[in-house]
Amino acid sequence: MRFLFNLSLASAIALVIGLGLTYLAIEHGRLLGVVHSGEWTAWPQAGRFDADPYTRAKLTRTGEIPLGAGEGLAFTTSTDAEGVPLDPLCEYIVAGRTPAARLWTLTVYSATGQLLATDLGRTGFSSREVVRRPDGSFEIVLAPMARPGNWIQTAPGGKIMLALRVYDTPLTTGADFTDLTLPHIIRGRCR
Amino acid sequence: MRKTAMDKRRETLIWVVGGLLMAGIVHLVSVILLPNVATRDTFATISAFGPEHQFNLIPTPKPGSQALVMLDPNMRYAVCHFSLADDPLRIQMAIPAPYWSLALYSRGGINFFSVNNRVAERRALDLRLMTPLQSTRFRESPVPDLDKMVLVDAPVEEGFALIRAFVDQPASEPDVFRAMAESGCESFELPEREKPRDVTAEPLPLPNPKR
Repeated sequence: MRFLFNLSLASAIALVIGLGLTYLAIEHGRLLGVVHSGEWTAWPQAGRFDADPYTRAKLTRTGEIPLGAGEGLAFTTSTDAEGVPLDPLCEYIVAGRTPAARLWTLTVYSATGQLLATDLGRTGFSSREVVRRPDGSFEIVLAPMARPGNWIQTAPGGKIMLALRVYDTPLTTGADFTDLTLPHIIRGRCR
Repeated sequence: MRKTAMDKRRETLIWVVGGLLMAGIVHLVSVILLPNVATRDTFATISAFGPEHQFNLIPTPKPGSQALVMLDPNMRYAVCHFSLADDPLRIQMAIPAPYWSLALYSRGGINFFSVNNRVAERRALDLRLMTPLQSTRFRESPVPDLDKMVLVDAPVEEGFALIRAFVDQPASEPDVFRAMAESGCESFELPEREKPRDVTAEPLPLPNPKR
């Protein structure tokens, strides 16, 4: 009786903790292979053939085709600068600068990686079309209703996430990740 | 001899420690096995865009109709799935876009090579993708214009090539799509094995490059 109790206890610990760790590592990027900078997350090994097993598992799980190291790097976030999950009923300002890159794009997705369906059909900005301040920084507003300046319309329903892709960047060719310049996502009014 | 309560507790503790060790093993095994039980089959999706050994256009990502998850709506995509089982592959492309790139993936979607139009340093890319064996044979005989090619050793026999091209204005979209569809992704034949040299015509016989 005692033996059976101990056996089931040990098995439960093994399964719950083992699979729990896997879930955290792959779905939430809590373990290896991930670079965190502020609210942003990137998987720099995704563009390499010798990627670690965590990165490989994550890629096959989501079904996305990663950017190669010679192409660029993708940062994603589903929270604002304070760590609060992004809510499509709130307004957000994405402000700041991006890492050095020849081209960057900012795109709004649903939590499952689908483009958001909005009235206007604009789902993001690229570095070619964004209006900048004289010092080179920029501000993009995410809001359900029209705003002056750089505006991306959001649509109610479901959680959202943002992807910032930097194309042709020194980050993928061995540049330092410790001092990343990334824009911050500041929450405004919520409906 | 009856076990004391202390003994029983110590025994349980050992089982707990054993459970924790097993948890580590369960974690590692599940991470490594996860790609095999993934619900999405990227290669099947990609093969469905069109025949092998040619670039097939992926429809422009739009809300509600996306062929693949997490595509960049600023980019236009074309994909070519290939097999190196018989012959090596030649990829030729020149896209009239401010940024374009080519990336090569294994069947499972793991990237093994990528290049963008700035690193390519010329307007057109001529890439040769070969298995290590094909590569050895390719280099056996002198190749004209070798300096204009990008030679890539393939760690896999099957996979796909993906073109990404940035479209900054809608007017340039048709030209980008045309250039992507016309890009080459075809098998090419390795040169015939060298015939024995005519010794009289060549005063200095070269060492046999075949090892």
